Amino acid sequence: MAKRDKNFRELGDCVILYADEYMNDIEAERLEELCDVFLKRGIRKLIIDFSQTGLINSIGISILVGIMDKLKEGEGVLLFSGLKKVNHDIFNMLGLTKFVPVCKTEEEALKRIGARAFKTTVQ
Amino acid sequence: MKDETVFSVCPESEFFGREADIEHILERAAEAGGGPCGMYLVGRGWVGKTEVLRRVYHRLFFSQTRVVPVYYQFRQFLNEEDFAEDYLKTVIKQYIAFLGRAPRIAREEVSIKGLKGLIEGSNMDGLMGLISRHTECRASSDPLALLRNALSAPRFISAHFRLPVFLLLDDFDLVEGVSLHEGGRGILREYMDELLEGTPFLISGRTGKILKGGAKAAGIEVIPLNGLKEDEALSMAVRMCGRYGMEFDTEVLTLMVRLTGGAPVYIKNIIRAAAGGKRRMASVKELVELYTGEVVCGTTSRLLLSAVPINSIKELKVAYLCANSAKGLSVEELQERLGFDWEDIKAAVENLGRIGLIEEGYGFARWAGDRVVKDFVNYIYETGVKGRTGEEAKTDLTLKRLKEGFDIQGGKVRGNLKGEVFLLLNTFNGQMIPKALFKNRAAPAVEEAEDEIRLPYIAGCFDAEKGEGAEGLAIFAAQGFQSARYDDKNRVTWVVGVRDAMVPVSASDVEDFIRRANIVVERFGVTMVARWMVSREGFTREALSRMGLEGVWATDMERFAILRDAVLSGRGGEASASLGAPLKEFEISLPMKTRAELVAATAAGEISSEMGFDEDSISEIKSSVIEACINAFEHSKTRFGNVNIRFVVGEDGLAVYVENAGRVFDRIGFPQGHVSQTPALNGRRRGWGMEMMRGLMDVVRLEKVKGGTRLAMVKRLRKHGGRSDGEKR
Repeated sequence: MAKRDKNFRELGDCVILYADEYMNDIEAERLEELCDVFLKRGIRKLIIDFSQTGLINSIGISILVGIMDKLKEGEGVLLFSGLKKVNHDIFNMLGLTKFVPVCKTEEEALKRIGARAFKTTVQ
Repeated sequence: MKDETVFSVCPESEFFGREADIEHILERAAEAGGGPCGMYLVGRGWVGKTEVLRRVYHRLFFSQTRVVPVYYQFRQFLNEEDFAEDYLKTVIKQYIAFLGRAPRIAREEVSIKGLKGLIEGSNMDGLMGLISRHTECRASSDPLALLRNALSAPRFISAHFRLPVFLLLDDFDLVEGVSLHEGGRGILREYMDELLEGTPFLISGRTGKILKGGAKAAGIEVIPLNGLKEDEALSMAVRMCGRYGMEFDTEVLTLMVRLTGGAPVYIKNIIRAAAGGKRRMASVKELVELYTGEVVCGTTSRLLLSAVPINSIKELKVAYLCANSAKGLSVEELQERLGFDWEDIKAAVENLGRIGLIEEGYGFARWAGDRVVKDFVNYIYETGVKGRTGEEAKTDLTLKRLKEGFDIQGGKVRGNLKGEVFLLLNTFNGQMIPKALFKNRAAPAVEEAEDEIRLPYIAGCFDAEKGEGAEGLAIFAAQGFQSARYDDKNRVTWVVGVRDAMVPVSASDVEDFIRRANIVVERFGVTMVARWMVSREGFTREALSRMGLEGVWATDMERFAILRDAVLSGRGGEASASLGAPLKEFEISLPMKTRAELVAATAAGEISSEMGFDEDSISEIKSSVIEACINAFEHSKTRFGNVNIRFVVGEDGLAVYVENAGRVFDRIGFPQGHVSQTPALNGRRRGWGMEMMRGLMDVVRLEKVKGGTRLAMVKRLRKHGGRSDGEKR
């Protein structure tokens, strides 16, 4: 059974984190904390969805890079989805897209990450 | 059947710029079913009249049933009998072809006997009367009756079968060459009388003379057809070159368009010749070789030999003199210069007039052919009259056209140099530039590296003397500030002389520049002055020596090109933030509080949306403003001050200035490169703010201001959507 919170959605062995409208230090730190929690639970497949995010600042990006590092260390999988054009351009410009695959939609990201949706419940 | 053609036409990919004329003619032709209709397509040779007529014919043949198209192209006939028979056969066979939807019949050569068979086979016995009358008139040697029978054929057919004929008469001027008696007047009057009886028609010719005094009264619409417009002709040429996979230079193709007056036939012949010879059109030399080859011995030359028949040496001499006379020559002048009888001159002028090379008016014979025909006439005159070899005459023509080509090409560059210098001065904005680009002296700069100078911040530039001196030296005065501190102490004036000629600047030119620069300096009462000369052909040794003594900077074309690239690419400094005169300004003062930057982003979004930026650009501006604000917050000396943001709306874009009371941004470092290469600081990799802004905006520049740092950003407005002009990615 899938569980959907305001800020994240669990789908079996995968979790989707939803970034806020403005990805600044506060929002990025919130994502980082969530990420820590799920990593501790053993979830290694993570999608960060930016479909609601209009603005991203460089502090937010620096924290995002921290999340990337953690996932890498924990041998997890990270995907970004729903990036608006300007944000995709920024990620591209700063080289993030070289390390993290970007999908157009959350559904596409789920397919790509191979989530075992609706089979496992993690609470 | 639509894929078939009756007459040869050029491929669709090579047909340009006549669609509107064709549509108009077709509209009028459609009306022709309801009454008389007359049109005269007039234009000099090789502009595509035949192509238009044939395409109209095909459209009428294949796409409608209300009128029967009949196309006839006049040729040089020996006598009226041949003409009458040819014309009659054409009208009848094309009529039968149309009704039988059989293009093949229209294409076939047919004898009178064969025509009778065709008529019998198609059950159109009503046409047999025309053939019988023709045979009788021919047998009784009655040329006038023969002619009238032929000319009346379209009207007779229309009335008999109640389906109107629409006549398309090509090269109608030649009708004057058909006469009833040897040496007698042409049949134009008979022809026009017949046409005006009510047969709808479209005729084409080179001169309006044939309709003199009658066109308007008879309600004939005159449709002028000129060479293709330059852009249309260029577009055609580019597509053709592309189709042949030929290497070309657009400027060279433009030159070809000008040499040929935009006449599609000439252009196509040149390109085909290049393609056939596996040659390029990438330089003036290559073009001119192809051009002269065409005029002298190519397809164009063969076309002209048949279409511009010059019957005698006398005609050739008259044509040559008229072709090379700007104002035209009177018969008396021609008589005097050639020593011919008055009658010979008159006959030559008349014949040359018939083939469209000369126009007579007010006692003068003026050249009416195009320049390609003129080159052709000159060539055959040089070889046929002067006795020069073909190779000599060709070389002479090549040299003339080469000179012209280089002059046109050079003229374009010359025209640009002053403009380029003027524009470049306006983009001076504190960039650091290698000293070597300004020969002779060190800059009066406040900041100066060992091998670099800082350009001034130019506020305005103008033509100091409104024009140029007799020696072709234009003088600009550019006023600005030597540093970003906009105070009187930093005011500087650059007096710039631009020599845009094919000779180098001499010592006397330098003297002249210094004298005129001094006048400018006195007039404006400036204290800090830089004098700079830019010359297309460089400077003589004496001039450089004099400039060295006087401290006048010197830049030749090579250095100017490097300077321009360096300034415009922002190398060694930043690109210009100039957006023309500001139209509106907005200012916001933000407290250094969390999410305060969103207020600035919202304002930026509103302003840029109002200015007409597209959604992507608005997002880019907002993200950059956010970034600029948080950088200003971060690097401020105090946590309690404000960050000031000024939005300047210009005609060409938006400038945003973000200012704080803080340390100098660029001294704390902005790493370049990707995130993975950036060292972590306090567990977080930072320092991509500048990189982000530079990627999103067209200009990003840090400026030192009193008590702090100002960050200036510019986003240029692109009028037709898409990305801004200064797109970096």
